[in-house]
Amino acid sequence: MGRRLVFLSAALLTLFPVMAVYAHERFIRHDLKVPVHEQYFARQPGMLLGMQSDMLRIATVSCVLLLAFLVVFFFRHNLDDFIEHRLLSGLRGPAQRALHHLANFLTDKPVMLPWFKTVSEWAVVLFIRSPALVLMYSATNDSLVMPSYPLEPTSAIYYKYIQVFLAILMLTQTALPLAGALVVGTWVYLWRWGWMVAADALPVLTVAVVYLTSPWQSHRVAITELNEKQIRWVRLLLGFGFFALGWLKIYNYHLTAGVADNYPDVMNDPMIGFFAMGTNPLFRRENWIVAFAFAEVLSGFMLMVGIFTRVWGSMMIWIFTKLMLVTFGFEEIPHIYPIAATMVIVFSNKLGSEFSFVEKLQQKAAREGKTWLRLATVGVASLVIATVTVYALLYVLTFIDRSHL
Amino acid sequence: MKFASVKVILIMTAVTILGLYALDYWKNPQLWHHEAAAMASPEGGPRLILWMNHLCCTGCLEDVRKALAGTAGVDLEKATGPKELLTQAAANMENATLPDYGNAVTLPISELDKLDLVKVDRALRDKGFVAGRMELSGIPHFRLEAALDHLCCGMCDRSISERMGFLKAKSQGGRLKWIESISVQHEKKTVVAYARFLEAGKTDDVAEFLSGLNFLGFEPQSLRIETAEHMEHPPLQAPVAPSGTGGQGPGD
Repeated sequence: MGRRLVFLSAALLTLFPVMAVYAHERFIRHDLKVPVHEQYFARQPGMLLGMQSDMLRIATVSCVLLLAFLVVFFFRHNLDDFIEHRLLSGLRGPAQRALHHLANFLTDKPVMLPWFKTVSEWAVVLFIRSPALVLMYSATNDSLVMPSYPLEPTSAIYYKYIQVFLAILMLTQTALPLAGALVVGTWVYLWRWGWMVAADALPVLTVAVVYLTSPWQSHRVAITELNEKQIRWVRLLLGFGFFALGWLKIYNYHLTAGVADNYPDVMNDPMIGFFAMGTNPLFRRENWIVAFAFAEVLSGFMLMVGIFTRVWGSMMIWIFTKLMLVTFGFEEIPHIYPIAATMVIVFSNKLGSEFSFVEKLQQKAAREGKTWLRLATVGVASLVIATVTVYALLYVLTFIDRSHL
Repeated sequence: MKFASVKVILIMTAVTILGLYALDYWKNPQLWHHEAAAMASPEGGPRLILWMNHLCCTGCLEDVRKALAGTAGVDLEKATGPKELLTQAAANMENATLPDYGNAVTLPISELDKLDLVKVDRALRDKGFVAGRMELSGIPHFRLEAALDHLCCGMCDRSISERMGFLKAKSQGGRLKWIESISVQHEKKTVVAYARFLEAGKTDDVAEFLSGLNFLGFEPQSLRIETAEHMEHPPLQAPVAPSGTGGQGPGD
């Protein structure tokens, strides 16, 4: 199965040019009502890294936040030991058990609670079937996969029937490898609408991986649990989707600003406000775009690489649910699918990290009593990861004129 | 349990992709032959291609021809329409397919200086048609000059130069991208759209500029095509929508 996944992913990656995603913006109104300060996103001669000062400030806040999360994560076992066995060592009985489960949940360790396992199983069932709901929703709205892809009246009926057929395979859990191939093939076809728009549908591939790695006799088995490799690929693909989605918010800032113009309440989010703290209110909308983008870049990145997966996954579930039920309403209903996918990850007891080698190096140094080496390993690794993740692409984007996108 | 092999997965995926594209190609030819239509005329020369979302049979074509009769600047005799247009009788049948509903009429431009695109648009509308796209091709360098009846103050000027840039910036589907810059000539009550270099075989949809002006609240009296050779006003340096303050108007 491992070889199959690697081969498949390699084949998929060859199809990706500069991958970018922006999911929910396209489901809803995004007409720009007030012109954006274009110069904000362009190169600023004489400024550090050629970036607008507020943009640089938001990036720095994001970098520091990511750095802190990385450092804490790499010391998570030590911190867990310290809190459970030293700081709160006096706790006994239910309180001690509750603390233990909470610590395990927050640090991505297995949570051995019956209800947790039940929710986990249910999340897998929802995840495997929820794309069918999205397909049916799109079919009834004369679109393909999601409302971003309106169908031509001349061919709509055929694509609608194809979607219904695929939805039946999903709902009845029949021939899932075929369903997976149909999903991947349809996603490639979505490039017909252009790379930026097609990238919307990147998270769809997450479920395709699960389908493709399921048995042909899938209708005979109860799929309520994903194995370690499947969970890893779900995490990588979903996280990458949101990571790219965040960057696309900055790349195509007109569209993001258009969402704010139509739904001004989205600019009052406290979490995004945290990223944009201390910035010039003259560029409130521009700052919001960058802050919103970085909130997504960070959450996507941490989900992708497995750093506090459950913490960030839980926040994403909360945000998506809020957007779907409160902010944007029914037009966001296709987000049942990413919510289900994130739930699968959050409630999985088979989580891993792409940077576990840093943890291992740190623990090895600890066993050898090399305190400074421990600190240096974690410090340097965290700094490099955070800096490259935040600044590299942002710097490149300042060279690209996107004012006519 | 039997799992799908990599080979089978790749074959199924490839078949899906090919199938979907083939279906698209088969059922939506109007989307695939858009640029080919522009290159259809082997002899080249300036052409105006009117894409009519409603041009389904010979009866429609006849009415379009009647509507355009007497339009100055185009050679209606040499106009070419869709080759395999359904007859009215065939179009009456229920099994006529929807892809044939829209079609293009290509009009060779005989006298560029006499062609008024507003008149072409109005002539069609007066007979119950609307051109979905008015695509200009075969003119590498040109500008469009829209004469307005109303252009009374600096705010009128600025609203055009700034908001046209805004329109260009906000359009997602590549609309108005062919415009390099906009200039408002207050004394002459004229709005000039300088087009980017138009490659051979490509087209610019000038109806976008027309509908853009309408969207801004202006109805041009005429819309004429001027070529680079006659250009009196060189294109402005700044692009249409680079900054929050919009393009270049006299009031700026």
